[in-house]
Amino acid sequence: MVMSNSIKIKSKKISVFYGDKKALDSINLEIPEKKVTSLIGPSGCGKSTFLRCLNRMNDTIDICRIEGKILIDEKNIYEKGLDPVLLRARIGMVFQKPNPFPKSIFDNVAYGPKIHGIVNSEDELNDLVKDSLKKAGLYNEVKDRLDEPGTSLSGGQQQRLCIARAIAVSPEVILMDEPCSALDPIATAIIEELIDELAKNFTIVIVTHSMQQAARVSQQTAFFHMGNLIEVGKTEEIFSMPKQVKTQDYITGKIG
Amino acid sequence: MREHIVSTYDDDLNTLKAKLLEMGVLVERQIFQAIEVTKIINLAKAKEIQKSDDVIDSLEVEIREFATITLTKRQPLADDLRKIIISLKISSILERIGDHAANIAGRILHVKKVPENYLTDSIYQLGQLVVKNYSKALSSFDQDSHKIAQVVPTEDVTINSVYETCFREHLHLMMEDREIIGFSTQMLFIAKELERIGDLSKVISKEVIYNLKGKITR
Repeated sequence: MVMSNSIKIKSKKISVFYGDKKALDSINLEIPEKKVTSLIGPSGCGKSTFLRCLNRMNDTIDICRIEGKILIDEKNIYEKGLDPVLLRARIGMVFQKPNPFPKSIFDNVAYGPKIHGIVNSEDELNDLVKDSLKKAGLYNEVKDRLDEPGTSLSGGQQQRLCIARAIAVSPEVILMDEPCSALDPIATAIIEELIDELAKNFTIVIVTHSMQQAARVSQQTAFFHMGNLIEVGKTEEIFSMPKQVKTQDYITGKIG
Repeated sequence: MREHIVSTYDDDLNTLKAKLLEMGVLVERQIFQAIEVTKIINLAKAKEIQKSDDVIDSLEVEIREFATITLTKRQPLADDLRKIIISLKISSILERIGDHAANIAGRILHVKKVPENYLTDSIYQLGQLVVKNYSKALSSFDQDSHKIAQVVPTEDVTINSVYETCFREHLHLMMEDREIIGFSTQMLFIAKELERIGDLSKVISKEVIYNLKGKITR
């Protein structure tokens, strides 16, 4: 499936094994630049495993073996000699449960730019933290208490803090693994609004269990089932007239 | 039909369909009876048809409320969503067809009786075609049949041409015999109501096709 704009990420025959178990089977998927792509599918279908291939987070699991290529801007991220830490500066990640560092709000955002040497002065750092918090739609709520612990914020605010932390290092891609599943509907709406805004500058890949959320926030949707990519297409087509019976059964909650 | 994991979801969709079919059958009876009273004028029957329109109107409200609750509860997607969308649309079309049947009855209440020198049953023949095509549209919905739904627009072309013939015939009759101008005018209004029912039956069939194929055809 090719959308009209350029492709940021290409997955070429990606297979993932956990020991003897094949978790993903030869996935070919193209992810368009500065768009939101949703990965949907039942638990254990491989969508989170796929997401974690995109920033080489599966590397940290000993028994995990990966075959195939992930091309970001046509460059294979599994190439030997490529530093995964540098890669992860280009590809930010937001998790299901907000996980701020046990540090102040300011330090949570400042941490990444500091270790990656992105800023040269204290003023620059201050500006970057402020700018990142603004982009994450959190600045006005926390501007008077930047030295308070990140963990003192509400769940929705913590998640936006994690987004601010992710965007502070100027990534090109943001991966989100069920970013709203622990949030109430209002906090979810704020994050979804933010995703719309972020998609102007970043390529976003989001794993979600909410069909409605996928329909609302993404332009492309990919349906995974038992380690296979069953169908990928424009979100509006996947949710109105999917081509595969398996997709239709899943999104409408039927017994397949 | 493939079943939902939540069986009450299937119950809701089945109930919605059953309510719509109930309304559809009631409307069918209304059209049929309205056509009958154009042939054998029966004022009591015509009044009854007008009164029954209230039942159809209230069924439309009931379907709308039920569909709204189902949308809220189930947040449907794909074919489920289309089923509910077409239920809302078809119920509104049925309500309008019911109005046309009631209008026919209203025209009959104006004319009281058939003049002796009115010697044609072309309106009745038109009515027969219209009710038959409406029934086809309703069957296509009932049976989720693309095949039946496809026939309805074709039949409507015939209905339109019979309507044109009816119109010209009545103009001719009125020019020949001024005595029947009043009656024939009412009959022409009735013919127009029937022609509209034909059009709306076609719209129902297109909603059925949308439900089955996911594409809007006009």
